[in-house]
Amino acid sequence: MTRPQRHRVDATTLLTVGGIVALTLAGPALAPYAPTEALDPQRLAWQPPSAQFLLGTDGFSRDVLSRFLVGARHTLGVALLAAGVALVLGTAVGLGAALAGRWRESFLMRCTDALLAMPRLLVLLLVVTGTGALRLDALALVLGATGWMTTARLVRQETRRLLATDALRGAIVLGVPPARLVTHHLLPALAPTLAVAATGAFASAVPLESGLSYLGLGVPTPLPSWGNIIAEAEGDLLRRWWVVVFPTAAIVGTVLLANRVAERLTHGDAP
Amino acid sequence: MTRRSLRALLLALPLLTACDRLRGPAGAGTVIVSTAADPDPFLPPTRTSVTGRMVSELLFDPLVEIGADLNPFGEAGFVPRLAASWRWSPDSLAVTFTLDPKARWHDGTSVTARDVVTGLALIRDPANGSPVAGEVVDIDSIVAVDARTARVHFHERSAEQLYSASLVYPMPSHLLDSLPAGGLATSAFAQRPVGSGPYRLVEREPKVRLVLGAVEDHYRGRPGPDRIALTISPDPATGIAKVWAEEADVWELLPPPDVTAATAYPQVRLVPYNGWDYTFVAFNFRAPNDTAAAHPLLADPAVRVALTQALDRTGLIRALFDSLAHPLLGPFVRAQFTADTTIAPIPFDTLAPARTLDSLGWTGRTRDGIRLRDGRPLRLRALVPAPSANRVRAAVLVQEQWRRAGVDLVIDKREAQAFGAARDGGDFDVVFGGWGTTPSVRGLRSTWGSGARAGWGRQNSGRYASAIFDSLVADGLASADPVVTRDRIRAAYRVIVADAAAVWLYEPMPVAAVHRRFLLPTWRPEAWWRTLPSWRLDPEAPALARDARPTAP
Amino acid sequence: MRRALLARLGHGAIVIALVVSACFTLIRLAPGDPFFRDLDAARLTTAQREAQRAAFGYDRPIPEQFVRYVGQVASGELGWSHSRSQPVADALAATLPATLLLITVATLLAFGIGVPLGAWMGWHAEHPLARAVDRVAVIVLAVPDYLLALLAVMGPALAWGLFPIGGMRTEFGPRGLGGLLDVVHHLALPALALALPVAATAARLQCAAMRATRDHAFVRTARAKGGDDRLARRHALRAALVPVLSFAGVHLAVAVSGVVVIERIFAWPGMGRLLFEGVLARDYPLVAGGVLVASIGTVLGTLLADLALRWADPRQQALR
Repeated sequence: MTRPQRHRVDATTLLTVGGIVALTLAGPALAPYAPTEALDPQRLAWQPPSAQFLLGTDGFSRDVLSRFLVGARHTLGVALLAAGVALVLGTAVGLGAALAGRWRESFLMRCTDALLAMPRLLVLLLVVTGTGALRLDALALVLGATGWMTTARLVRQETRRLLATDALRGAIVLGVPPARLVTHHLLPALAPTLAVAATGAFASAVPLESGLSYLGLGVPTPLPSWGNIIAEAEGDLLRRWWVVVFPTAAIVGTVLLANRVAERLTHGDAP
Repeated sequence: MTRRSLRALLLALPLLTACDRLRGPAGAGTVIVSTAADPDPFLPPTRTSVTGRMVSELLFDPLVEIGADLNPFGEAGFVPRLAASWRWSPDSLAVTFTLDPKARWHDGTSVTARDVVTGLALIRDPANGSPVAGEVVDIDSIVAVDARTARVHFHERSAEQLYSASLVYPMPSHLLDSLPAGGLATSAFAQRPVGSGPYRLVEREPKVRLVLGAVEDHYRGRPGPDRIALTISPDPATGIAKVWAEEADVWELLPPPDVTAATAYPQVRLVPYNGWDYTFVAFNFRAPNDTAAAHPLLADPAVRVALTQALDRTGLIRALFDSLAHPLLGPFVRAQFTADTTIAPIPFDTLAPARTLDSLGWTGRTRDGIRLRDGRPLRLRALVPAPSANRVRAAVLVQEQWRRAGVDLVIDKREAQAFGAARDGGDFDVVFGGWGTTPSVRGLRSTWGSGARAGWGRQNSGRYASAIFDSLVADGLASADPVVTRDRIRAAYRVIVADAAAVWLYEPMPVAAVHRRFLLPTWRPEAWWRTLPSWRLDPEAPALARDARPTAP
Repeated sequence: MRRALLARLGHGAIVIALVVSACFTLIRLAPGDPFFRDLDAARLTTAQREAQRAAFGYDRPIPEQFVRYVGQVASGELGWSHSRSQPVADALAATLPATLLLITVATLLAFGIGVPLGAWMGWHAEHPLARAVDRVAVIVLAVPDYLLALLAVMGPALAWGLFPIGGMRTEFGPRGLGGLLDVVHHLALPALALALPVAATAARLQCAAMRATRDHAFVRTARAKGGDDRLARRHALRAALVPVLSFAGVHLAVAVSGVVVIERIFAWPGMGRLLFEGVLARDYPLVAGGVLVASIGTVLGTLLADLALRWADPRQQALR
């Protein structure tokens, strides 16, 4: 059996990812103030960046740097969990469709199409406006449950391709039971596809969380997240630029990084 | 940056133009009101929002209207509208209204006594879901004596009988009597209403815009502005920016940061006025999961007082509104006739809450400084409405202040729908509630009165129940003497404040933004649009293109 | 060809049916009350509430409501929107043109900019400008869409006064040709805000595909045949359209999510705003009707993209 050529992620990218993970884990320890503490709402609200507050304060006089550092784990955690949920659901549906007979495959894929055709934001709104701000795990679950369709399509396509290869045909002819076929043959071969799909789902969940926060439906207050730090500006982006610029840069950076990882995994080099 | 007091800033603005300059030629331009909420539904029996009330009261006239001093008791404070005069029966249980012979519907038909009967019938039809229905329960019936005379019969004598009658807007019976029950909402009339007010509906795109045109031959005289348009922007930031960019003329309620921002736009005049809404943190007297049982913590008055003492309301209000809100004194606003500014609030105190909570056994501490009793943390769940930015912010500040007293407040922020359901179901420890008041005080029966009396306590989400409060309110409302009424109601305020039924938070002082080319009469705080017909263009200010007289109606 | 097309149409119909059932189920299961009033408005009495529920048929069991709804839809009847006091069909007809205008202009703008730009970037992949444009595109894609829109309102519209703040027309503004220009003026920012991320994706896809085909055998053959670089580029472009065209199909579904945010921020009187407000008001028939229309649009869009794909890449036919 020929091994597919392994694509590597370069050292800089790995280091950056590692740095972000470290910063996220150490965030609460590094934060100069308690992230939810209103220091002095009368005198210290909306302070621009200064030596005392490196990234300024928000309307409650909370330190933006502390919220930013602690918020990383909520934003990234929700996105990571959402990507996980999307990956599991998408793989299950994709594999199921590729392995099942014609009718069930057709039905599963039409369901996927139907969910893709429904505006994702509306579905999220339907759920969230009814229940109120969701707990973090529930938020991640809902984000994942509305974001698995692309993964399912990718997985089905790749599985069908794999099933046509000699190695898999051989395994089927030899009578390998379906469960073993999935765990020992298909999943390992699918790994690169899954990694790409997961980074994609992750990259789409990060801005979505901030979009929901703008509508007041994201990570519940007073927990900080990059999205709800930006939402604090209440649309006044120019005069309160410091609550907007830094979290936005972080969101953009994270998404770029995720895209880069995905690109490395598919091409071996970024275009 | 040092924060100058916003109120000082407002005082420095030129005072409102005096009324004597208001006489000008008819035709006073176009007023564009920017708003975030759609007015729909905008018929007097079914209107729900403030914007809906505005449109309904420009389209329709009532029998009588409360005057500028906003005294709802007796009859001295009321001015004639569709009813030119009225007469009390000897037993005071009926009032006979004589309609203005010049009053016409916008289609030219005369307004008759039957229209008054129809007005009440629409309020009473349960399928219309009229929010006014609960306000006019003291009216027994309305009888058309002849075409020009309608008699309103009351169940009981009360200080606010005429006020009740002022809530009944005559509706055109010749167009509505043939509708099936509950058919008002889906009728063509709801889309193209025929009213009796100074403006008629010209154009409407639901949720986008609505245009009203002046009624040339109105029985009270032709109104000033030729057109009044509503432009709806779902995002308030966009709606306010329209006023900055001269795309609109009025925004009714500016948030404090935008009051500061307004100084950058020379064409904008700021109009501060007295508010009618108040915000409070109501304690739940009943267990959240079982409304039959008393609340394990908050049923104890000592705990409620301690939690109230632990809050620095002055600091909270300054942080939220700068100087654009008053501390709330009780379940009333300062603009109300019954307001009592001599009530002493429970003062902010950092030591007393600690003593009280220690004495109640909350002596343990978690690592985060939250008090413990028998290993259980002192934790309260606060229901907060997500659409209200002010209340969400207030909740965060209260959370922080209570945390310093060792109380863990969990903020349960919900969208309007879910918030309303949980509030009405009593599913909370404390709720960040708010009520809009009116000149009348009858609302107290439903917002703070107990369910022990029939029809009371429907909106009393914390289920506060005091027999003394109830009877003072009932006595006050039953009295025929306005002075007695006011005293009884004020006594009731003192009872509920002493009971610490809620932390009375704030009463915002609204500031409106209005384009400077208009000369304004005195701003009516309870319904600013009532003076819209007397707005005039300042001859010295440059008019805008949209002020040109519309060519054809 | 015709059989394949019929099969696609059949698939589309199934997808629409699934969307409608999913939407119906989801909105009925989500908590909320269609007759809830404003935040602090007086609560309706139980009798009032029951009367209203009965008037709209919401007191019936959900399966019965579903059957009735499907019957209605089959006969072209979408029900009554209680939050707008008008038939759902009227509400959709009133808002659909504004949204179609916005989406069409934004789509044309996005692909009109993105495809040529991407093609150029792909053909000249080593050019420093091409790399710079690629970087910008990647950043545009990563910025949350509502921030782009808010920035457009705050900067060009409010601070510089170049564009109107929101809405579709100036109140009591000009009519005729002037009115048309007025709409274009109002349309510019929302269309651009909606188009930018799509243009960025299109450009990147086109760039990658162009690079791949540039060195492909048949392009080299074409080059060898006449040595005409323009002909070769046209060959390459046609084949390289494949991924962009498949993206264009998917784009429509995403665009509907996009207009929800854009229309809210720019107060654009379209269907995105209608749906958002319908969800908040728990206006069941309105949301179901809106999603039905949106999904029909998506399915038709995917179908069109499919047909275009067949044109661009004849090999696709053999694969099916």
